[in-house]
Amino acid sequence: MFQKLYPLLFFLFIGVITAQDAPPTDTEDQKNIEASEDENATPNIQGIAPKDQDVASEEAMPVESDDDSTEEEKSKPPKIQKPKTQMGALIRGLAVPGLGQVYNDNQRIGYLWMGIEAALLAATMNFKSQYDTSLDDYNNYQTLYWEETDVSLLMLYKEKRDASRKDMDAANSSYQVFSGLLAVGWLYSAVTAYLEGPGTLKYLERKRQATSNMDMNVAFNHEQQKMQLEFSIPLR
Amino acid sequence: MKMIRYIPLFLIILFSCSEDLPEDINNNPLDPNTAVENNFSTPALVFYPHEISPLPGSDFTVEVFAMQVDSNAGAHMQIQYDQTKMHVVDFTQGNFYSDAPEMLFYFEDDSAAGLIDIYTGYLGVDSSYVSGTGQLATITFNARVDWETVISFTENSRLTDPKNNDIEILGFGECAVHAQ
Repeated sequence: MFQKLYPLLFFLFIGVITAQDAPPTDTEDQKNIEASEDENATPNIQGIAPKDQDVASEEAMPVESDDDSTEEEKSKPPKIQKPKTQMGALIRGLAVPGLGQVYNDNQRIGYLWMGIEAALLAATMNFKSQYDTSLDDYNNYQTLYWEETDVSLLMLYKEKRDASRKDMDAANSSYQVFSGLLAVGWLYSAVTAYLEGPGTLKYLERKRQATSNMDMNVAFNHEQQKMQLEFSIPLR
Repeated sequence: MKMIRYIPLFLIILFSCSEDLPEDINNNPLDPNTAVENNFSTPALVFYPHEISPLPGSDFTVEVFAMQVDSNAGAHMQIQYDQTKMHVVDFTQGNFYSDAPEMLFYFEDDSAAGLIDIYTGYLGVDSSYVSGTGQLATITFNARVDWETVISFTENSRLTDPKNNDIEILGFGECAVHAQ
């Protein structure tokens, strides 16, 4: 029943691939995209380079360096930084479950999806393996049953064949359920990545919450006999 | 990243291939349960296999079995075949009466009429007998050309007990041959 979803997933996947321009193909480009995303994001503080600042940021803020490679990069035309899109989230979600959420800067949910789907994949593969083993046993006993002319032995082989049949049926049922769950989960994670992708209200809300997540304390300073406000803003 | 795109495709192909479950094929002619299901009465004389597809010009072997007989001491099998489509190459004695100190195995092939007569059983005056299912003989034929035919028992076949009384044969099996 669940495997009827595969053609849907397949055509959606093919359709998206053919309809969409190629997304950034490496992490560098992805980071470039992150660096140039919406204006509500945490403002960059000029002059302070974060430790994990990427190459694109270095190009945007050239640092004096003797490195030849940097000069070569300067001579090259600047890379066009593609903005994050919902389709980008969908494509990544279809490629790897959870990757769309990671692309949407929702790492926790993204890794959770990856874990769930990995567990479902492992279970599916396990039941597939059980099914294959039972099928091999079934075929072997079927052949032995067919070739045997001793009645007691052929009845024994028939009994074992029927037992393998039961195992095969059970493994196949579990396999279908888990592969269905895998496909549904995969599709669901991709669609939610699209629906909560860059540009949507949920995405902007989450970004706003992330940027406003500052630590603030108000206290009375006895030495100076006045109220003091202390706050810290996490820099990205 | 480009290769990752195709992972779903691989997985879909992988998981969509093994849905079909095989159907149980209870086609062994010596299976007593299948005989009951098919309303094939015993005691019976049957061929194993009950269908065979030899290559034209090649030899093929058919075994003759007595199935679910009780107190059997001897047998006469008359087997009919189409002599225009195949000919007999060899006969071999079966093992149903193999524990007898002396036993009879005599065969006659009338290639003009397409009739084989096989006589087998215990020799002597003692009351030896066997029960159950066992191989009476093995016949090797040679297929001449492309054809389809049937090897069958005639009504003249008989099974006997130690006192030479007839054991009623309720079922006669056939062997369908498709030379191709």
